[in-house]
Amino acid sequence: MTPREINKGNMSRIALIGLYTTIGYRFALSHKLKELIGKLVEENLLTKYEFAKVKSEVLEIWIDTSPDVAELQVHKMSKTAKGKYLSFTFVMPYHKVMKVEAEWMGVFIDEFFSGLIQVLAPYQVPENEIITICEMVKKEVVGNETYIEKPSRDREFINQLIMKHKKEKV
Amino acid sequence: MATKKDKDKKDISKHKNKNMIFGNFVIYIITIFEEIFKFGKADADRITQSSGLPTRLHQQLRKLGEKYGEKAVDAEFIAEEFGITTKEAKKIEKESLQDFFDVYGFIPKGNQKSFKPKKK
Repeated sequence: MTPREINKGNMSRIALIGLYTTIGYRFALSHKLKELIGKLVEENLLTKYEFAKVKSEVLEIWIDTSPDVAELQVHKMSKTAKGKYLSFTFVMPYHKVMKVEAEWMGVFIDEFFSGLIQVLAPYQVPENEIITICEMVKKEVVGNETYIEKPSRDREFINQLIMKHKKEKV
Repeated sequence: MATKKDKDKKDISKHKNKNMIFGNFVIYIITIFEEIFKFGKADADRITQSSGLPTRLHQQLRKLGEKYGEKAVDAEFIAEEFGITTKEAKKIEKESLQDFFDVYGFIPKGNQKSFKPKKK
């Protein structure tokens, strides 16, 4: 059996990609947090349930945010040519997540997993199992600064560049 | 038989590779493991309908995800410019890259093949 045949009908990976399209609005998620969410979702949901009718290999979630969105929006994206990716965009409500700055990460995780419940609903994945994983993630990361993107020279440079472009437009 | 003029018209509708074509553009930065990897420009009119996001940027990020890890890659828009030419969009992208070079003294890995900085 070729690797392609083994993977067929076996969605076992999740891709988590931040793609922030509203300038100046994003979440300081570290890749470490995305790794943790990915690991728990892959081990406890994706490899546990068969997703027999899903031909895609990767559940792909694009994370975006907007100050003009009051509630989480989940958009299913059209299939890729080879059908490798089952893709969704989560547009997170920026102000709802950042309402209490010190607690943003817990709210972000709640919003993310409520999106995942919507995405996995057609595949009979029990909601309570998704909520359990959500709680596991929150227990590990809330209040733990190692999961927040650290201030860096690169981040400072990007922020300065955004300001420069804004000023040039005015 | 399609004439060259017809072919040009078709090209214009498909992409904005020609320098004098007007359009809407976004300038973006791709980060990998929270470090700047690449600056780019995308045609804001060529989007994936279901998500509203630039189609080619999706493809680019997927490829990088396969290479560096599907949880390591992120991107964000840093500027939007409406009603400018491709040439002007390229200029904005190049200026951002030059700013990066002036601060860091090197070119981001993802732009090394396409960008030649002005050394001061």
